[in-house]
Amino acid sequence: MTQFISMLIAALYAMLLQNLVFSAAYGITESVKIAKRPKYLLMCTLSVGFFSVSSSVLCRLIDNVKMISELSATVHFLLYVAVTVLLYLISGAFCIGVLKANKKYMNSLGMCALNSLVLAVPLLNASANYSIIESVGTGIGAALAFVFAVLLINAGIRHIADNESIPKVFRGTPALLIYVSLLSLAFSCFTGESLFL
Amino acid sequence: MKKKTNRKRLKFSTALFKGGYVHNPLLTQLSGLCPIIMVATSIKNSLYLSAVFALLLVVNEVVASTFLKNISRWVRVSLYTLISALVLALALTKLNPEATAALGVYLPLLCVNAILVIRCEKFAIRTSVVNSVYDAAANSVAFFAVAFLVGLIRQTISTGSIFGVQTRFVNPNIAMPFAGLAVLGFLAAIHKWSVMKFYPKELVDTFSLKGAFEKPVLSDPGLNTRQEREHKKQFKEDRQEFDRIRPRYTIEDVESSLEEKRAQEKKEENNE
Repeated sequence: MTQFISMLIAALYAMLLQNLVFSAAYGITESVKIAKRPKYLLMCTLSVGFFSVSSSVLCRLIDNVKMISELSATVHFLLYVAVTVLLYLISGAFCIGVLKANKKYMNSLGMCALNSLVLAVPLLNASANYSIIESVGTGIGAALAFVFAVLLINAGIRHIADNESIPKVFRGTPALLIYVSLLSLAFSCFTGESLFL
Repeated sequence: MKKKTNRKRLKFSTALFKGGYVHNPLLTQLSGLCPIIMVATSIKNSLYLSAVFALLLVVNEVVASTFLKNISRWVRVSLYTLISALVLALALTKLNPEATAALGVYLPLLCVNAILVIRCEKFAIRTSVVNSVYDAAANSVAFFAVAFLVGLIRQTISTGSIFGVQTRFVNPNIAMPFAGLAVLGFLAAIHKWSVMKFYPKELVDTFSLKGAFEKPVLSDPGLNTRQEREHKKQFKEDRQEFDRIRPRYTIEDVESSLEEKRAQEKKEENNE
């Protein structure tokens, strides 16, 4: 029960209190790009979830090996990248060989697997010295944070992109950036700091 | 499958104008925003970030255009990350530890920066090594320009001074991510205004749903992208739709209308 609660706390922390997309900008490019194409929303968010959870757990398991834990931070980083790339290649081979995935799906899979959110999760676990259960929680939290971010951006993107009441210069990309900054500001309230002096 | 290589020599000025200014990857496509939002809080950080990014981009584009043309796309994407990670690990040993500590986790995360994959896949893989180097340099300049401006603005507001001159506006919270996004939003608006004003034909807003494909996307090697293909597809669909709905005239219709026209002309001549 205690372990389940610690996993839940780690997940909630990564999703809400310190939303990894809005508060730390991990995977913000990917979330904006997926939010623009809601057709791929389910597939992409599931893929990001799978990669963030699996890389988080695998990297933490590797960290716990005594011989590896004594190595430098740079070697750890290289190992995390190797694990993430290996996971991506195995999943890609499975998708092509078994699921007969098409070219478009494979293009999106690369974006879902090799992004700053998926690679940041093992680095954050290592810096916070999380247990394996908490690493699972962080992985799930990162995936939920991504889904949350994509849905929030998607909700606004259609109103903002070609809104006639927005000045022409701000229409499109600038308005979208300011909208995302307001979402980020909303999540900054969880930091407990006074934002304006 | 062997890729066709574009042998057409790209001028550096063209690469800089199109890749660096008009189609700035950060301000028009919102690619690779993560490190800019989080750690471009001072000029020093921005310079370090841009230097490492330039190194990674040049190495990746050169390797992609030299060795990776005959590998499938989904494998290539992972190779870019591996190459970047190795280069970064080597670079980290040479960099100033204080600077790398200030950039934190965002320095290693540069190896999965979206711009690296996008430029390698959309440009380097289809062209020669020299063109790739030009493109990498142009995109690095674009990255540096945006990082420098964001760093300058945030440093000025957070410390309350610019190059030793005191300003009245001081707020250390400008270093927070929402402020970085807002600064980028205003920079994107200024960029869009300048392109609309001076080069209106070149304007392509990726996040404008309506106008994305109204403007022509030029057949430049740097723009041989999904946008161009979608533009062509859209054009083809529009053409088919036009062919379907346009009125069909028979020869009789045309002849009768010509006769009417001639009769009217004769009448006008007689009147005169």
